[in-house]
Amino acid sequence: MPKPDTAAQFSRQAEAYARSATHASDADLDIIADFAAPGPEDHCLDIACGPGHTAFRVARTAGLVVAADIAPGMLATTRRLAAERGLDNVVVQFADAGALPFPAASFDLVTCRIAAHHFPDVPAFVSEVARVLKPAGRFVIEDSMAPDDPAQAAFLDELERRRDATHALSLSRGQWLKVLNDAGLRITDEKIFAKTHDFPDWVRRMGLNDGQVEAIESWAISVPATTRQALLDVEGTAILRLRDNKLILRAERPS
Amino acid sequence: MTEEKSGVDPRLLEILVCPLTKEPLEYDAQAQELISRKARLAFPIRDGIPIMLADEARQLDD
Repeated sequence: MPKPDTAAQFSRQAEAYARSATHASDADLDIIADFAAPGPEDHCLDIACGPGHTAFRVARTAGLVVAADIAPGMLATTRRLAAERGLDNVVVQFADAGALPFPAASFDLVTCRIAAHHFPDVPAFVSEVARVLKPAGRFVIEDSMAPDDPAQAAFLDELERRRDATHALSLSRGQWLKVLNDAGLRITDEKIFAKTHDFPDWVRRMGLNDGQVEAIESWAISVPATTRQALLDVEGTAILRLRDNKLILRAERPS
Repeated sequence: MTEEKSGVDPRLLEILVCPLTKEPLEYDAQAQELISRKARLAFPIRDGIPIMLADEARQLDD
């Protein structure tokens, strides 16, 4: 079920992601760490680890962190950075979020930061998370949250897809609660926070050229203002900023 | 580092299972493969990382 184009795309972008201010910034990592509360005996799994920001944060206090991704380039970057930081409790592993190569009840903590919107089948992913969690194990998920307004949600999905063809779908808060509930997980904490992206940085991180960026901008500026203005700051024909919301949820497998 | 690149981390070998059957795997150090007898698949190990994806695995015929 993984999309090889996603793996290739993110292998190419691994170093850009490692340097990106947005991805290394601590504001949401603080919340994830607070929700996750990894302990010295905990075996942890970070799914779609990217260049390892979340895995390294969890590894500060965890026993073992398996950093998993489907992009070999990301795994190579994560392994190199972990070695540079002397984090010998981080191991990297290739794993498809929808078919995890781990036994049932094998992790105390599973994290997944701003990646599920790339997954082709989010319910399959969450059901795999529920399977590999030990009883009373914790799942901390952060992702881009779709607006409740359907027009805004469709616009944001289309914008993400035009910037990065590997974007699948962002879920709304209500959709996330349902998916977690359906997998038998009990939601204990949540946090929504607004994020402002520097649009040129955000759009170019995926390696688009000037022509592609201009095409996205002229399309985005052409949509009805009521939809667009909720998400974009525009000056003339240039988009300066994208504003969206991130949702962080903490859930537990019942013991 | 060189050792880590040429072999699989033993902490992973302990926990990895077949992504399809969720059954334990056999480690073939010589061929650098992880074998799932039930799924009849051999998963390759590249640069010390087992590639646990059915699409990337070798079909076993015996």
